[in-house]
Amino acid sequence: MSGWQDHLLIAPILLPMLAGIAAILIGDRSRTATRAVGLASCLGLVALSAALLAMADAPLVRVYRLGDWPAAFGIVLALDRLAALMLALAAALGLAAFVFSLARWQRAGSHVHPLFQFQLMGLNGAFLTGDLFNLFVFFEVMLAASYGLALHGSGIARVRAGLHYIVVNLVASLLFLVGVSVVHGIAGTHNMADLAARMPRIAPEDRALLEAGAAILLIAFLITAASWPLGFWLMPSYAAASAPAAPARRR
Amino acid sequence: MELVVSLAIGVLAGAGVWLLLRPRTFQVILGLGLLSHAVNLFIFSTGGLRSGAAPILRRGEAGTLADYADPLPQALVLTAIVISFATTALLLVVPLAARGLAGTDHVDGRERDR
Repeated sequence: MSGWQDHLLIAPILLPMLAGIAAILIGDRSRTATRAVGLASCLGLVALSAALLAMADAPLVRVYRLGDWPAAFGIVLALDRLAALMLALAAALGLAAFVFSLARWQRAGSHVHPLFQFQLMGLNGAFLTGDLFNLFVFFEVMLAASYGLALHGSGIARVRAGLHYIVVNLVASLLFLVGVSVVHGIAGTHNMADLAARMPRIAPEDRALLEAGAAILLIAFLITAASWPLGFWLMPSYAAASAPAAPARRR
Repeated sequence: MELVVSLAIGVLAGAGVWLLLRPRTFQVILGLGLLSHAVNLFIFSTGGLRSGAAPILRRGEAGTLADYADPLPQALVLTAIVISFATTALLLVVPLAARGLAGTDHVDGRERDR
């Protein structure tokens, strides 16, 4: 916990959050101001992720302790090469989707800009977090924003597809919770690094249960990411969503 | 106690899944509610089922593993309750909108042809 560089780690979460709040406060009073805030946040995220990408090499894993609790008790953010790369990818895609959405789509309904920023916040948080339960929380932030984006523009086709999308993802997040709690019950920790260290020392009779928990987690991830073979729900939902919302919804 | 809790979880989860697969949106919402109850109970039970065990010891008290409750699942279940409640409340808007737009409460937005 020294130097301003360490605090850069939380900036990809804070920046879109503040931009989203600003976009809500400005509302529809000034379209130009909302657009400028969104664009500034997206550009800032690209710059931030480039800086983090350059930083990711020096210590192999950079850890940011939220609230400065020791890692076993508190929640940590961790930046490694993969996280930095995913952040950069999300920032680039986010900027592209945002610029595209400026063309027309924001007029199709209200609150696109705050929802978009909160989605970026959830996405960045999910990449950065080093804690399994915190990952769940950021997933929910991302999903809650994506529910709004999926319905953006309204219309019967979108509402119908959005209903299916939301129910499927709610069930997936319940599965996620079951997986997390099984893993916690067996291994006694949520911290991903701690989990990896404890994994080899699990008693053989508990091993099957732990693997079952990990499998449930995997199923939850497969459903939310709509990977084969659990992507059956994806087609109607994406076909119905407004064009700039779809690429923003998944990395 | 284990038997009662596991039966409760099983019945809640079974009823929840059955309701979730029903064709009316109201039943789907109730099913999600029951399922999240089951999951919350499940998270709670992963901390170990003991009665009369304190999560935080008094100053000077020597704790043993036998009379100590894991506080972490209790904190997690609180978060899980709040999040699942909030997302279910968020979901409620969508069936209402679908009912208004489609004129039916079927999950597919139209009645099945008979």
